[in-house]
Amino acid sequence: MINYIKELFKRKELIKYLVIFDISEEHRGKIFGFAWSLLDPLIMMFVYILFVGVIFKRGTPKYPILLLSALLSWQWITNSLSTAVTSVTANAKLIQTFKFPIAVFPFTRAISGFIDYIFGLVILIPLLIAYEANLNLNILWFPFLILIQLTLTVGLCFLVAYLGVYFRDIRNILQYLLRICFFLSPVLYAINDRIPVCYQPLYMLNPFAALFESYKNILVRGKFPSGYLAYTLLFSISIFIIGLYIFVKHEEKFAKDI
Amino acid sequence: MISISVNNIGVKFKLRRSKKNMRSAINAALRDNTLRKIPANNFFWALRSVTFNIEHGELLGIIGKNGSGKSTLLRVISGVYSPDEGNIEVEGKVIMLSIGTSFRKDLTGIENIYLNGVILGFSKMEIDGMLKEISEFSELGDFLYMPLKTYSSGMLARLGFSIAININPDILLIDEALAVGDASFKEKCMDKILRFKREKKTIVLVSHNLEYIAKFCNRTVWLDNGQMRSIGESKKVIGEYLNFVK
Repeated sequence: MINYIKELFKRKELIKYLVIFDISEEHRGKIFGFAWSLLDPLIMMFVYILFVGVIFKRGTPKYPILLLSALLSWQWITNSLSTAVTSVTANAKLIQTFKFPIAVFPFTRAISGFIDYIFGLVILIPLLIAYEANLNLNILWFPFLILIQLTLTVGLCFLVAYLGVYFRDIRNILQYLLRICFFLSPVLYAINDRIPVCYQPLYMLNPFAALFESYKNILVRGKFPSGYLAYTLLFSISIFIIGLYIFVKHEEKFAKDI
Repeated sequence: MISISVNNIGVKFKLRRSKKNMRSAINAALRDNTLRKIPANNFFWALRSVTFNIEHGELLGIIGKNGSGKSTLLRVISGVYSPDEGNIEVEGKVIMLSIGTSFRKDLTGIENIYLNGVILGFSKMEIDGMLKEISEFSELGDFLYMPLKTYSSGMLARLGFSIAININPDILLIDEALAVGDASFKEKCMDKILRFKREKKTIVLVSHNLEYIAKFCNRTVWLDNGQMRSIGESKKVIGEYLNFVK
């Protein structure tokens, strides 16, 4: 498995091109083109503000930045997973023509999601300043959170890409799983507002919960990351190892089974 | 000097239609009042007991009916399929060429050249160096800057062949890729293939065009139902094959 990771690293150039091509393919022929990378998070934010702030009359003055700091991270996960699930089958022709590490496809999906996330930061950072977020030294946790999320997303991408080959129903199931995870995570609301204290430990079993709470804490509230982040870290590393192991174990057979 | 050595290989596929799903399970239950167990060994051999060697500088033809295992054999040689039985040794860089399959249709010709290049393990600089030759050989001109969905199948073949030839592989596998090119391009490709042969590179050609096989290949393999029916001097094997299909 270590060798496989090394092999993946040797294929930097391939991964770079796949990411560039994915992005340019996605935006080709649109009037706004690459601007959508910035417009998407912005519009998404307004939709939820309309929904939660205006219709449900909820939310605090800092709601927009609380929302966006978790929503961007969520978009990274959903965008990556929903495309990773078909990433092997969608590239069947290439896989059946050339011999190369197939893991580049799900891996690329995680990276493309990360790049969208960086575009999202271009929107988020000015907003953090405009809404007077409580920025302090806790911001130093940010790269660490990114790293945890990258590990988690890559691992999950491997897993769903494998399932996408042998268990195609996953494409439908995944949509609903992601939707449920979204509502069971503190993106639209604050944990302490909505989740009774006695249920919180159970609620935090969702590995995304601590991640989003931590983003909100360090970016907006000027607080320490959630204590449950340690659990999310362990979960992420396990998923990464399991995902990679399963993917590599079956990789040889993908060309035949897609 | 042996370039490709194929030893008693077999490749099997699971039969898709026997795959368990809800509908077939319900149908079976309604019919027999029982959930029928699907036998575990439900697969077929696309290739079995195939053995031969190819020398450096040899041009080998592969003929056979549709579904006889020709493309499967090429995929085993290219390393895409790993054999379920036997083993195969291949010396050098292999490129497989089949019509338009190695491309992404939403990308331009140039982008696809880079995509194929990096998949094959070349760096950007190396591809930059090959780009001029590839575009000249393809004669596609400004079409190289258009997405591949605007290409005709002949143009796709031109692009694929230009890439494969100019990337300079040690072993070139051609799967019916010449069938759609026009006469002048075909001739240009055959020239290039003959030059490859003189440079002691190995070429495997799958084709239904028996005239081509007879003209260019020293030896030919005849595959039938995944088994090797015959191997030997091209004219002899083609004769046997024609007798058989008649």
